[in-house]
Amino acid sequence: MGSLASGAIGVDLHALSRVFGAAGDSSVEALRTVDLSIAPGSFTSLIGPSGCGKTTVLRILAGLDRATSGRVEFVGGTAGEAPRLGYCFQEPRLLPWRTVGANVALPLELAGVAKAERRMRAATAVGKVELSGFLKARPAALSGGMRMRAAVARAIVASPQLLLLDEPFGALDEVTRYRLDEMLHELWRLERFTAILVTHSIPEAVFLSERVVVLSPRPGRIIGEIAIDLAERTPEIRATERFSQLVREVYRMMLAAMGDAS
Amino acid sequence: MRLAVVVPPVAVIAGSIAAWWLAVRFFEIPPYLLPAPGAVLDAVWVDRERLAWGMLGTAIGASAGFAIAAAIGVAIGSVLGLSRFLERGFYPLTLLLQMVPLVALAPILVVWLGYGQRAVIASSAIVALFPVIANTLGGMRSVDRDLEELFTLYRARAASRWWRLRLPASLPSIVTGLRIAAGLAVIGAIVGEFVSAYAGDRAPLGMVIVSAMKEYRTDLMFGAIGLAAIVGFALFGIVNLCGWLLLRRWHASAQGGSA
Repeated sequence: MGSLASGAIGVDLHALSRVFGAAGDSSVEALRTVDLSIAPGSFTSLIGPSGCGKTTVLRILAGLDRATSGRVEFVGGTAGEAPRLGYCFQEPRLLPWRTVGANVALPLELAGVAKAERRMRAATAVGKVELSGFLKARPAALSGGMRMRAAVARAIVASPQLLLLDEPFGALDEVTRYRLDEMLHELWRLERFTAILVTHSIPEAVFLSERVVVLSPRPGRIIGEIAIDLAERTPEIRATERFSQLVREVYRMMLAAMGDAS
Repeated sequence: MRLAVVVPPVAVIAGSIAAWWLAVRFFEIPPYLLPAPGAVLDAVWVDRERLAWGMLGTAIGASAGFAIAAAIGVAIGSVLGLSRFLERGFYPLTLLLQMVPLVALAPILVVWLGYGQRAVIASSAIVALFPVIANTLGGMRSVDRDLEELFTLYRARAASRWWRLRLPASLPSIVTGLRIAAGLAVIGAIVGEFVSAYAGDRAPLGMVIVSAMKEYRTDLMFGAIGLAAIVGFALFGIVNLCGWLLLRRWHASAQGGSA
């Protein structure tokens, strides 16, 4: 086993386009010929204004939507096997009748993993998001941040090779969001899955990513990208000059993209 | 708090019985038209054995009918909930069936199934079936799209999706349907008994009512009707309790106290 022990996979998008609705005036072009190559084990953020098709990219990768043209290629992984994907939606999407433990175990259950094993793995995943004390709690008894932690645990419980994060912490308050970003970074650092994050928040993208890809307003195209060369991702890093500088760089690129469109 | 919940209904019931008693007394209503509450209680006591068997028979018929209606209703509602196509095709038919005065089918059931308990159970099940179908379908139709997508993401099989998502998500709605069905099951059983039950020592309440009518025993009829209501109330109570036990941990409808 190499450094990518979890078998993280790379992703290549080739001229990916997505048009919603029938061709004509009422159709909406969400993505236009997006080419992107994502290395195994990397953390990439897609950032751009609302409606730029960021979420559509994730949905196509997860098989929840189909590209109108272009294709997706998964690089690495086991031949002949579908890649193991984890997906975090914008909402926690927990089953209200299940406990946290049973919610987190759901992907294993649907994959036919035996009860004893899935219980153990769910408990481990719940521990990783620091919710161990709430294994038997139901979602209604949890705060918004805790529900999102449970959703993250569910997304990683099956040891995904590729984790897709669709603005998972967008509905949380700033402080909770910072804490969950730090937790997510730790998870990624330890497990080394490939991560693709879609977000509106520039500081979040800078804090988490090795690479920030900026998309234009609809139809979404790649405007450019910025490598994030921060050595470490501690809470203090957010207060450094280098961090602010990177945030400004991403912001300028987004601003230019908006200018192009209007 | 507790007292405020208990006192009003008890007061209304006690007041109604008092009004009944006073009316019989002051207007000198003959007992064969309307017996006094005391006379009904006397009749119940005198015929206690016959009525106890009657209650048991009706309870068994209604429970069996209810159970069949619940199983078939949830199954039909679930299947109709699978696709718009099926729903469009079959739902109008179930509505049409609802317009048929179902109790009027009881004589036909006797023709098909013969005299006795089978026709009673069938009558009970048919009368109780519709609200279970309608509420199950309603529940299946309103399953959260986002959760459906979660199951699509994890490539859930149809049976797994039904058992792990659609059935539990529909449960509050199904329980509502079953509550309605509980009362209807007793009505269906009594009507079935009117036309198909056997007379004799251990006849169910519907038959007791018919016999008492022929014997001009209005007091016994009142007693049997009251006991039929109690059977219905007990079945309703059991359904309510089961619903509460299933939903209390997560659904708002079951929170803030027991049934």
